[in-house]
Amino acid sequence: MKRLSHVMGAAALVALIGACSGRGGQDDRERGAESDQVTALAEPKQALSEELMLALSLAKNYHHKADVYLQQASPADAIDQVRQILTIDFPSDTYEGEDVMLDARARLAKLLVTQGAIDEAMQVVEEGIASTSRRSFFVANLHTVRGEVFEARAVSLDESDAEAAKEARHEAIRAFDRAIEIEKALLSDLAEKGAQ
Amino acid sequence: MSRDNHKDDESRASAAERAQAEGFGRLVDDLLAGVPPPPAMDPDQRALVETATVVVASNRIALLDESRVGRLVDEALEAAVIGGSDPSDAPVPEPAIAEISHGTHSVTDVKVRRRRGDRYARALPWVVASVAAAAAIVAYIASAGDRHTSPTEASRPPAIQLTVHNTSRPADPLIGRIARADADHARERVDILFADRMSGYRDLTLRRGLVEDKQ
Repeated sequence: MKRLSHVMGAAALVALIGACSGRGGQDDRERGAESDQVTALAEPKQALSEELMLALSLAKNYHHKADVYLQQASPADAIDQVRQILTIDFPSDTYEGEDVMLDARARLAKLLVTQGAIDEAMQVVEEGIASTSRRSFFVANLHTVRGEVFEARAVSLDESDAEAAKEARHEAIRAFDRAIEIEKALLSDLAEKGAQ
Repeated sequence: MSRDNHKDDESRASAAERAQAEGFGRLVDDLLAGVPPPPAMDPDQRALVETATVVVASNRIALLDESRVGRLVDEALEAAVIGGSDPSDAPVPEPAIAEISHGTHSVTDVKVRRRRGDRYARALPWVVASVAAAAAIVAYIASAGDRHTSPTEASRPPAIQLTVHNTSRPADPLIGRIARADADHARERVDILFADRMSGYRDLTLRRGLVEDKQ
């Protein structure tokens, strides 16, 4: 009788441990499924989401509104619309969010230059470049726009300050060179991936 | 012989008869006191003695000695305190009881405690087994509940095989190098980007819907 009760106790304890370990096993399987997903998708960060699509749609519509204002010869209103894009809350860590923001800054800076707001245009570009997390054609484009802003500054200084105008042109060339450098590196990377 | 003389003869016992009656009475008294009857007896006399013993016993109150009374009370109390009888509850030998009874506790207390301890010792493995089994069942049910009702899992979309087309990724391969003349053509680029990502998102949504339908 005593032996039977000991056996019963041991069996119950084994069952308890089994239930607990079974639960842990389930957690492991869930983690494994997630890790498999990450392994299968080494480069992409996450699945496309409704939030991302809504943010992209917002950016698209602000750009279209800006186009309409430009058709109506209302550059100030167009600038306001493009500024709105910079306030969009893209899902964190999405590549598209960073690309669209940099592109919007490029357009905004060029619009500001047409309105003579060179310093503000330069600030928009500098902030954009400082916010980048990786190389991209959009970063290269922003460097290109930065060069154009320096060009515009040089033209505005030609009559008043020749030396400052000359320095601005040097900065413009450096900016274009930086854009070219990035583009070459990206094209090389894409060519390598295409070859694989 | 006259009739009166005959009555006197019948009512008056002879000395032999009286001695025989006294012997018979002693025999009955001895039997009632627990003394065994003599091995050799006349069958008629034996039957007569047994009958007389039964008659005497049924006409007087049976008195038990104190030790017998105490033992019966102890047994009754044990049965009331401990419960039903168990085959393994063998009575403790008298000498042990006699030794214990010399202490400060009564025989009943000592025996009840000892039997209660024995009973707990026997029940302990079963109690442990029952508690462990109950805990195992609760753990299994809890894990099953987590599997089926976890809010994280409920809000999680069904797991499907993602392709690069369904994920967030750099727009560089789609847009390519941006010419200087197109530096401010952000609207055209976002149109292209949106259309491409919407294609991937629709594919993802459609496949998730198919998985949900299967489930």
